[in-house]
Amino acid sequence: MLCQNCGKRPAQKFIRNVDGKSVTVELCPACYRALYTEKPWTGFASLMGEETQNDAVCPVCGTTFGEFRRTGLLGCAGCYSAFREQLFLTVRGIQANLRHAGKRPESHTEEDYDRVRAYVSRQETLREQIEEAMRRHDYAAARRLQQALRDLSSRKEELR
Amino acid sequence: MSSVPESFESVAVSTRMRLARNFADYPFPWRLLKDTHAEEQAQEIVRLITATLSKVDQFTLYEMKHVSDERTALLLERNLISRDLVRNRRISAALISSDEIISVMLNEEDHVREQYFMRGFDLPRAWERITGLDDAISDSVPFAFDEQFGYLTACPTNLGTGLRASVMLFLPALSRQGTMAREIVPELLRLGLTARGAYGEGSGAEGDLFQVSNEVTLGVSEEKILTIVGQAVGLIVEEELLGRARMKAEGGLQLRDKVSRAYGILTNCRVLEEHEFLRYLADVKLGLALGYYSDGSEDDAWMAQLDELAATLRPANINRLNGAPLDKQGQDAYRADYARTAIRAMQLQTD
Repeated sequence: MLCQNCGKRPAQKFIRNVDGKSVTVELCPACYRALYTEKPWTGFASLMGEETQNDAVCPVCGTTFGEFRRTGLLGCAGCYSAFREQLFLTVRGIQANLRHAGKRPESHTEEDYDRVRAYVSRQETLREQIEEAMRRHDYAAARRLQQALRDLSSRKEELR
Repeated sequence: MSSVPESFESVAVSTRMRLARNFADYPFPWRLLKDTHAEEQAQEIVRLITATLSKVDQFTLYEMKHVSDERTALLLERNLISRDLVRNRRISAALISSDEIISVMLNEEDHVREQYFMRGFDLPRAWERITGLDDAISDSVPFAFDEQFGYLTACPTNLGTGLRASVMLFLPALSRQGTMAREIVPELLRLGLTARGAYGEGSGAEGDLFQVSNEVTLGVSEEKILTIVGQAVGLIVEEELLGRARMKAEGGLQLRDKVSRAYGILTNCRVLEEHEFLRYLADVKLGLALGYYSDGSEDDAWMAQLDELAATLRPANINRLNGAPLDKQGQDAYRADYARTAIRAMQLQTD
């Protein structure tokens, strides 16, 4: 039994109340959430840079972002660096939070963690400011902030 | 006839834990499969993990391309391997401990899928075992890890902890009254959890069995995941026990009759198809859960025996017990004989 919405993933049954009648819908959990639970407003940030996204290529394994969109699978660990910016939106839709809060391999020290934590919170602040600027229709400011975000991303390799 | 037993074990049947991990330097398995030169890399992964685990415990290595169809079906039935692993058989493998409580799948969706299974409900213990195994492996293998996204996985739905903690629940009352589909499953989704039918993804809840597990893996600690899953299980168990009591009060003679008929069929039939078997078995288990059969002292042991029987009488295992493959008719006759004898031998007090 495949999902009635995406037709790809296995479905489970949900009973919904429609006009006072019980209706059974067969959806996968991801589509159920997409159709029936409220999503946070992400602003227009998701539209910016849309046209370049699908052509982006992972320099390590050659997987394109378009391929990821089709299959739902990344090609290698390097894809997460190559597509980091685009992935935020996907990951935000399916996960609780964008920052890992669990176990870590022992080779990763606390100092590494602190440095990256600072980077990540700077990134989050910028993203919020972009959304805020878009809401105010201040596109010039939004563009400036987008550039700042890109500059920050290009410097992230120094963190390693 | 006694009152409805308030036993946690009669609801929470088993616990299962899984960690998804990847090597930092190799493409993920689907990508390896696309590349004809990548078989060496896939081999390297199998070699490395096999060598590491041989220091930990006694494991049997199954390189899937060399495993017979019969054996593959058997491993699938016991949930020791997944369909994805079989699909990737050109490069995939499984390392299974001799007591079959640990199974490490290699080159499935991710390079490494560590799994631990146990009867009963004990999330902390299952976590302790799986994280210990994970530490042992990560001593010699550099897992792909990112400060922001945590452990990196082929699919972003497993990012972060890579942890799937699941508990198998027997929910005859909640499932038959429609409460699962109407109220509980949507509520679980809101909490970042999910409930699936136990016989694999996509199946309905055959045998009234549900697998409750976390969907969200990133941004929450393992401890928090275990707490949320544990609390949800606790609430569902409470609801189910209440539902059973209501069911018994409202069901009257009709319900008693339904359960008794199921018992009558299983202890007398000569041909028994698997779905039919699971349906009647669920009815007999419901009878146990409602306290129809005894004073309650042996209920949990009986429940475990009936679950064991369901696992024993799956198709590939019947072929194994029989010593030679049977056609479907042969299997149905074998299942009837075996179930009839086994359930009679339990001597449930049905009057």
